[in-house]
Amino acid sequence: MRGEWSLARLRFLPRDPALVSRLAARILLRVAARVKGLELIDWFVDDEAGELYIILSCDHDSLVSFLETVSAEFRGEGVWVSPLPTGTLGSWSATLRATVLGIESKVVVESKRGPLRAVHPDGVISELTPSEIAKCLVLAGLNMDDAIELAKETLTELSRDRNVVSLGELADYIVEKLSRRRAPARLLAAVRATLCPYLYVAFTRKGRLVPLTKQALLEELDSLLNRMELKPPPSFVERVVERAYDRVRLEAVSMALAPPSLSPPITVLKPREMREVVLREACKEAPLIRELQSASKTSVALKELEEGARLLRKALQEKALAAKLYLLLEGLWKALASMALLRGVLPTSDASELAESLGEAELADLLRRAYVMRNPSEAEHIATLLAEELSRILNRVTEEMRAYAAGHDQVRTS
Amino acid sequence: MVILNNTGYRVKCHVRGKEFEMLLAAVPLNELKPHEEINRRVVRELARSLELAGVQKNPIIVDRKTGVILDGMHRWHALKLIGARYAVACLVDYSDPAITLGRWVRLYARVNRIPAWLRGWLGPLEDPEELLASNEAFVCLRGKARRLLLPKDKLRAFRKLKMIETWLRREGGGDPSYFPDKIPDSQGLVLAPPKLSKEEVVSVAMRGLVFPPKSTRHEIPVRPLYLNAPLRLLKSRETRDTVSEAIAALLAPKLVLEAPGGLTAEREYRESVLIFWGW
Repeated sequence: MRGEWSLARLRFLPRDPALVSRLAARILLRVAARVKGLELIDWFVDDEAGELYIILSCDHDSLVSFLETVSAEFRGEGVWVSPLPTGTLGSWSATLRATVLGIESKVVVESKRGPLRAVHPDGVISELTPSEIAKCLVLAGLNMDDAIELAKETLTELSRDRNVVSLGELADYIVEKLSRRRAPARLLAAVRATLCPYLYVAFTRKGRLVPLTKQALLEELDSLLNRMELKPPPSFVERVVERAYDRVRLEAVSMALAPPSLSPPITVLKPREMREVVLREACKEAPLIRELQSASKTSVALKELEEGARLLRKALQEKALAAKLYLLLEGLWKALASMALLRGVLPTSDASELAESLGEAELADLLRRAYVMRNPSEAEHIATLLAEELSRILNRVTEEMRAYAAGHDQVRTS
Repeated sequence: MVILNNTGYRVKCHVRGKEFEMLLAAVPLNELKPHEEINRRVVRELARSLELAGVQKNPIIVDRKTGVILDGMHRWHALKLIGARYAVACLVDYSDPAITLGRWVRLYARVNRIPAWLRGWLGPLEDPEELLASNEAFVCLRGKARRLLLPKDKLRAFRKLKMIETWLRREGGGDPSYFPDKIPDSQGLVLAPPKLSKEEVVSVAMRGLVFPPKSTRHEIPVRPLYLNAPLRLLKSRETRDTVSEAIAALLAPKLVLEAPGGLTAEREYRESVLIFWGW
């Protein structure tokens, strides 16, 4: 972006930045294509001021025609929009230049301290690991070996004189390295999108546009868990957030690679859509969450307990060893899920992890052995042990369920 | 006292053939010194807006040698109110002649005669343009200007001026309009405060005292806008260097656009503006 452009601004009402962003993505591109001698460079919504800023390359007449058409189209969509004077003597646009002042700017750092960290656009500072960078590069389409090598190299070089780098700087650095190696433009765009997905995907919070970051997903997941009043196993939150963020990264890549005429510069998620992204990924790790959205914990626990008992009965009648093992493992998970719900723990899909978080370390070990066994004689032995364990857990959960119901009755009568 | 920031985002630009340098960095709020009073209502509104936006949009302009806030007194108070530890500041050398100090000339459009109580404070008739070029306070009505006889000590003079403004407001003058270093053509009573020197501003601020609102009008050659520093960083327990580097890191990949003087975005900027475009 070099040369001289015009900056115009429009005030909008109602102050709904998500709606204005969506409409702007459609209307600005369409109108810009219709007005002769006008090029749309970029735009952004200043949600605090309730204004839409547009950078254009055009003459005065084209600008006036563009602003009039854009305002009319916005009004047609139910958004009142009015151009505001932006330049000298009340003119509709201010001149913008990229290099007139001969600006030299750089990050200056007084001293090098500890390991390199990353700062996210929401201000969160986190550790920067080669594995995370490598994962982004693989998601962008680089092969694993190249990605690992490039990630390590980048981290070593940036660590020399910096303590904190932004994801944008990291992306710029890697893109420059790759372009020196003559990487295709599509790969460069994808790399930038996986490292900086917030450039392509944002969401609205209290009527403001907010870049979609890991922290935002984490806060959404926290509020989901708080609503359910269930404590997750230790690494659950991290896993779900990582999965959800990977979805966002892939969405960003698809946007970065789509032709500009077909795709808006940024996707803005409504709070409901953002909740759905997190919920979908959380359900993959803990499938009962979907049921817990519409039923109480006890009713879900009772259903899982009954299902566990049914599977145990079926497993005991089953002759084929593989099917028997399958039924027992499924039954154990159901029983453990039921126990977890009664104890206020979120039942995740990994039965061994669930057993561990419920203080059943021996059962967790047995489950891990069951997952990796190869030998048929060992399988029979494990099946017997699993059946015993399932029966024990079912009895225990039944007792806990009775105690839970009694406790509730006591509370009700008192 | 010198603001000990050597970490941050250094911006050097050439304005009218001269080099102008500024450092965009985080500065602990308790190291900054305001030089003007604030309006509590504006501070409360600004604090609410900051919390909602989650970012400090524009930096506070600070003299790096003394920590005196040249512009952004309300933002400083609002940041304190919301529990921030740092402010993003544009650290400049106040002694640089490129930074000018002017005054806000007030116009009371609804006042069309000089009130009797004010007459005792006025000197003989003088040329309005000469008075504007001088450092003296004056009033002007229908092209006739008279020096305002205020105490020699500038702080006392401004307090007296504040009293005059309150009386004018009470007498139905309403809120004034402010004009940068010029006598407006419109009808009404023009009230020009005395012009301050940079030394007077620093000396008052360093003593922990403040002038009334709109006592000074600082113009720096280039004003950075839309830095959008996340409040999470400004509230964090990280060291000043880490926060400064993090802010600089967030600014580095942004596209910097220059708008020459005259840009209107929320308010009019007479000086050149640097817009940090994007997230």
